[in-house]
Amino acid sequence: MEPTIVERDQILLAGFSFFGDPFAASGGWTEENEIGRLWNRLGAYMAHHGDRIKHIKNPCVYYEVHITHAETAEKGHFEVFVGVEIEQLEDLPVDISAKMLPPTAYAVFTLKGGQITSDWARMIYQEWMPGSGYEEAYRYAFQLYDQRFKGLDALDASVLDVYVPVKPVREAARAS
Amino acid sequence: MVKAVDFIEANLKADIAVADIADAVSYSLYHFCRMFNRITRHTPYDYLMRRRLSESARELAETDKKIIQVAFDYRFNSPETFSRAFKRVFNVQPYQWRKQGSLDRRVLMSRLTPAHIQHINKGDYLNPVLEERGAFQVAGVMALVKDDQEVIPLLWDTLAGELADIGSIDTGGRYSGIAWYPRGWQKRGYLYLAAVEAKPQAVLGSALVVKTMPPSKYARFIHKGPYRDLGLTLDYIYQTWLPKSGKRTAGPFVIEDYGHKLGHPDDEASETGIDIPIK
Repeated sequence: MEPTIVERDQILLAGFSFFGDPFAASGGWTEENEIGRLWNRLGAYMAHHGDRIKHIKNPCVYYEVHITHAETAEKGHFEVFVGVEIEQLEDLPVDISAKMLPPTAYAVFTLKGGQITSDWARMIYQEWMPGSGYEEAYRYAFQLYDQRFKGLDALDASVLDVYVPVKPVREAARAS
Repeated sequence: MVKAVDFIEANLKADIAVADIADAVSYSLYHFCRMFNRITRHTPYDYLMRRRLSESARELAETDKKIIQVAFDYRFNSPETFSRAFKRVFNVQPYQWRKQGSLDRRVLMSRLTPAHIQHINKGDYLNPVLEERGAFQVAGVMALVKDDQEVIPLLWDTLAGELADIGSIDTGGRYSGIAWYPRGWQKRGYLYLAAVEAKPQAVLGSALVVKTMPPSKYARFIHKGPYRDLGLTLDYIYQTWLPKSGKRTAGPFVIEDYGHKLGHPDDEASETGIDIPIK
């Protein structure tokens, strides 16, 4: 699978965060884990209090960011942030968190149907990246959920983009 | 996932990280954590730590190794971190555990075998219903059960014989197998009572033992399958469900509920209610 390389400016997100092993309560792809819980909380918030968040760019587009921390390799604990993109931080309600993604190039992979629940992380980092001429620019990645995603029970009809921050691998300095 | 468990078991004393386990089974860390949890009901880190602590508990009970040596063998940075983790999982300090000397299956995490994994994934029989039960009286035949469980069908046969003589006037017709796990039961055996519910003023043959069970809250699980697989269900209940539930056992006994059928079923389709006293 070949990605599209795009450049993005800083992305500012407003939403909710979790740190730990998101599957501690339940594994699999149901909503019975911490990621599902974050989505439920965010959905409820947007439905009832969404007007409290100012400057939302597009309320129909959601980001799910996975961020590697110091403990990730050792314990399998990482951060998951779900939210909407905002133009600027103004009067953010205290019960909403913010996340700032740096300006960077991204390798964008478009996943369809069964690919969404496959081990795409392995495909991207172990199969595509080595030899692609790119390396990891930052230790996070995000999934973009828009109207092309039809839900966990309609995966066959769904499309999801995964954005992986990349930078070109620097040529080894040549001794002259 | 069996491969992942094998890798973990082979490396309990080695310096491995969850990322290493994911690599060993060729999954990305993210996908591995999701799959491992779905199949075993433990996070990889939780399984690794519980196994390390359980094996170190075994060594503390069975050998004379210094606590500090066991702590370092199982990759704890210091006796303090070991002690804290030990206390959090087993509710006693390592030195207290060593003094107490009993190996309680109800607390130590045993290695997840393919049989365990298959049993856990059979279906939704392993989510309990919580219920309160008032005090009740049972009458039956009791014995000490050691290495093999062949005495148990004999107990049920004996009970059937006694009840044939008594008739059912004073019994409730609800059959239960109650097992008590006293200190040191792994070496000395556990007590098993094959019983029928008895009215408080019942007049019964002197061959029967009468016991009053106290009022208690219970977590009721449905064990599906033959009696010989009950150990797999009990392992799941005590080692996987109980730690996650935030509850604790209220007594060292387990009630097998056979309803109106005399106990000890042996076919794949039979269902037995398992009541665990909790608080």
